[in-house]
Amino acid sequence: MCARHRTSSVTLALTVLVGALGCDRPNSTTIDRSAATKTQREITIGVLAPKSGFMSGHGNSIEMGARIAEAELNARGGINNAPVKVVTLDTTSEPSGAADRARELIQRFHVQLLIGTGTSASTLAVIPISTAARVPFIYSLDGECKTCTPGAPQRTSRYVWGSGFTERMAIRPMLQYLEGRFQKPSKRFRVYFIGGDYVYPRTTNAYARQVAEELGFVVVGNEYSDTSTRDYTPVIRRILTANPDLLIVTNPGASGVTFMRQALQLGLNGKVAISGFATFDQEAVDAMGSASEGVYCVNRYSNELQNAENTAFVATFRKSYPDKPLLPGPTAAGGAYGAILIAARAFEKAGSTDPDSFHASMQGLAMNLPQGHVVVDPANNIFQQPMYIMQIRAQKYHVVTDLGIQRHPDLEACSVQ
Amino acid sequence: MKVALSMVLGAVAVSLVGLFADDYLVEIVGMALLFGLFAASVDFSWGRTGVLTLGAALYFGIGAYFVAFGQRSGWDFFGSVCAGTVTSLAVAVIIGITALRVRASTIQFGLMTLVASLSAQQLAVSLYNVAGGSNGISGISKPILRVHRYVLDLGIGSRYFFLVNAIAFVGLAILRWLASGHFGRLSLCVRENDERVAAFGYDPKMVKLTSTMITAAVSSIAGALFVPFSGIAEPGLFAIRPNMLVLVWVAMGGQGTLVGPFVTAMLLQIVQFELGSQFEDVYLLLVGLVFVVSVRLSGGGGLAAVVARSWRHRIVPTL
Amino acid sequence: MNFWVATTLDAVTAIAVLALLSVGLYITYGLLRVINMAHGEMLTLGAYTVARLCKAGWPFAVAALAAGVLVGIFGALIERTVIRPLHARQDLSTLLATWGVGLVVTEGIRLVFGPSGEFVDAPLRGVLMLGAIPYPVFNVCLVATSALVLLAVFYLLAATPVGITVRATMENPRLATLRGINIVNVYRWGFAGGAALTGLAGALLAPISAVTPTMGVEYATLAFMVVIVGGLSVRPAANARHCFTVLRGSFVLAPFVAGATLVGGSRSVLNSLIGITPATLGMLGLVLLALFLRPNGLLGGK
Repeated sequence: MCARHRTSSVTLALTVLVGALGCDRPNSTTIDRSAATKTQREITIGVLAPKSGFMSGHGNSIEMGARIAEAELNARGGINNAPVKVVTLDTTSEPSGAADRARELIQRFHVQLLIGTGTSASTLAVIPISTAARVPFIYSLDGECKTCTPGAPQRTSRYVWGSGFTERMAIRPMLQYLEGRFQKPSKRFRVYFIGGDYVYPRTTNAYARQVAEELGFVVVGNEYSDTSTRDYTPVIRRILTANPDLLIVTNPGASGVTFMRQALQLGLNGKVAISGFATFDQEAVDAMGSASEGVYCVNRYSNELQNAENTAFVATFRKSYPDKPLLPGPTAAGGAYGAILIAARAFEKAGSTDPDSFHASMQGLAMNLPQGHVVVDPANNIFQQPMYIMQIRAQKYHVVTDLGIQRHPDLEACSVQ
Repeated sequence: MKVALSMVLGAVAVSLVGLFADDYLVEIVGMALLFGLFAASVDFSWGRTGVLTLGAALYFGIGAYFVAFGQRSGWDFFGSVCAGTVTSLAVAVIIGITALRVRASTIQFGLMTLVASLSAQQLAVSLYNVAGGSNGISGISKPILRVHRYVLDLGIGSRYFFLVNAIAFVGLAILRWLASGHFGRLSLCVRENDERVAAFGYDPKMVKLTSTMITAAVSSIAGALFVPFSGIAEPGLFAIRPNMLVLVWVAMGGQGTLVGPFVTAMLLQIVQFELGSQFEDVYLLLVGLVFVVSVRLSGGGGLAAVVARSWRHRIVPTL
Repeated sequence: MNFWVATTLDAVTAIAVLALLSVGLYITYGLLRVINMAHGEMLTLGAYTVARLCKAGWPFAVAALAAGVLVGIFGALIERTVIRPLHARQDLSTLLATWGVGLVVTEGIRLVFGPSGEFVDAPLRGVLMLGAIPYPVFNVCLVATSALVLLAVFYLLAATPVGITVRATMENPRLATLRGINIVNVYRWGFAGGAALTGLAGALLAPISAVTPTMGVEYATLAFMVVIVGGLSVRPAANARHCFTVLRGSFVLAPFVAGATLVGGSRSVLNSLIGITPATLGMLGLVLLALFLRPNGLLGGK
């Protein structure tokens, strides 16, 4: 009897607590809403930054870039004379976290624009939410830029943009450049592909392989290892046996670092030219140390770029965050900054925050950003932008060659249905 | 009678959230309810029968994946929930028979379920054609129920939340009802001394197996209902963290009380959603610290025990 | 021919690495019956210590030993503050509390050293050519160290008075107390020793892995698998059947060596036969099969 009595009082306590929480909320949000209507037009930009978890370095960079953009926009009077407010929430680097935070930003903070996320998995989780709420969303990192419409994978979304470079923009010129540089005389160019065994490396490498075959290369190897792999010696030995001219590594994160550390042990670096996708970002390179020496990668941004926008951006960054050594992710801070600036331009062109006018003014919008001249491709919502081949020396990126402005060839189909 | 009344009261109270709170809070409380049900179901086998399931997220995840996969392939919502539950039951039976066939230690059984959960995570990443690989299956919306000619779109308003609310409290009530009946007393006996239970002519293995199956089924249903809220089923559902978190909820809520873990899971989940983004980079550090300290300070049942120590002997039914 | 030589080499390396990884976990469990969920984080601590010390100019070997000592001290601290007060409880509080400790360590490392990760260059770089098969010299070191550590633990447990005390405590703490053994001391040193070995393992693995705040998780998962497959229970029956201390000592070690062989060996062999991902799934399948056949572990007794 007593037991039951207690249970009901526990439940009662729960009732009161949850009830209090529930009753408290609508009041406070109505206050928020009325406050928002009073100041009339504060433009709120939601930033989904993976500030904890395995992408946390990128997350912090994304936030810093966004803060610089916020300060700069407000210093010149905001967007359409409305002050700009940036709200950053932590996605914990997980897709479910990104989805929850996207809902929070939309439903609680009533943001007019979403920026960020660190991985394509997170992006895919956010796309349906932002589309359903008709809130424009700009993916600010590189990689797969999924800009399709949920439910219609072959149609370009009205609410999603990809501001980073995609591998498809870069693969052909990159392979051509490396062939020109490392082909042995009177022999066909030999390429070996390795990658993590999941969606991104597989699709990226599949496309690269297709291009390589079109260019007449010989693909001497193509293999994928699951992310829990800790011993890459057999893989490296197979690569040594196949003796390629070029090795493409698509093992983002820790597995790429492990691979490169073990490749160094077996002396792979001296024998084969190495390049890859999403594997050689600054965080990975920091952890690879000497194992990253001489690796080629393709990128849209380096803090060394010489143009007025970048000089100003780097100067502001140094001033705002003097204790941060450099831009931690190669493109995270610059990417978030650029995405917000171009969105601000689109809002100004539209004269309102209406998502459909925003979409109209984003079509074909051109602007100079720190990474150079950027044009929003109306066909696929992906930013056309200059690309560079960089070589890593002493863990720093050095621009080797400028590939010029590159365009993403078609719409990247989504797995969102 | 009082139990039923308190459940109805609880459900009605939480329903207020669906009526008055903003959309975001409704979703949060909805998810929290399901975590509560999940915790209660784990408590049913761990706290009541003494069968430790370290990998309970396996069942939660299976339920979640089935609904996500089902929606993508155009299955009926109810059908996918059932399919997930049946699969979870099958997995639970296989693991249960394996580990309980001979007298494996509690910990050994627990670790096996954890290995199974981590294997499922690997499998979900590897099967990218079926399970979407590391991206998971995203874009899951609230289901539309079709019975005969009647169509009910749960995506409108807080309808789905009310459904979940009802199911969570009915689920909790059923667990409590099972726990207070003959089977519940039997499972308590098994927890205390399974050899003596065997001497009375019962098969303790069957009691443990049944208990595990109840956990599997209820966890799977909670996972299945969770996906339309979160919108995504991903391999992380099977990872170590969710597996540990649910144990944390049970330990903090007070083992064997069912309601304790339910409430604890709910409240902690709500707190995490509400405050998590304010502490950001130190959030996990705080979780770890609070956790160590609360386990360390309490006398055996976590935070709840600190509060409830005085009447613990009454809420934990003993023989 | 070459193929099988290479495969055997890889299998031996994998087994050695796994044995080194899990010996600390095994000692902690076998002795204290504590499932140390912070095992992975202790590996991470070891790796970070060696990375930092090497950066400060210490020689690798010295830095690795220092990492072992440091993590050992950390282990002793955890034992004193978290485990000992909870140990009397026959529930899972130690498991849950050590999970919390692990979370704090990971996040602490991330806050202090940043999320990027560190690197250590191996003291020995170079390739040994066995016929046509290249084998990194550093791996030879790893295998040798692993064998050495296992032998030392084996010797300590099997042939010294310390070993007898420890084994007595493992098998029956109450009886050990009655015999005048200070089991609190045994627990303290046992946990510290397990932690030290784990720290050393982390340090030794640092040159060939990604040293990041979350590096421990993957390795810890493998270590847990090794210990589960090998079997957790120290066989009381060993008392009766084997009158030689040496044999009894080997029963303390054999389970997780067997586990490492199954986990690491099967994965390596399958890897060269059918590719890495199927090999991982095959290994998991084998683990589950082994558990189906022998739920208490390969050598865990029925």
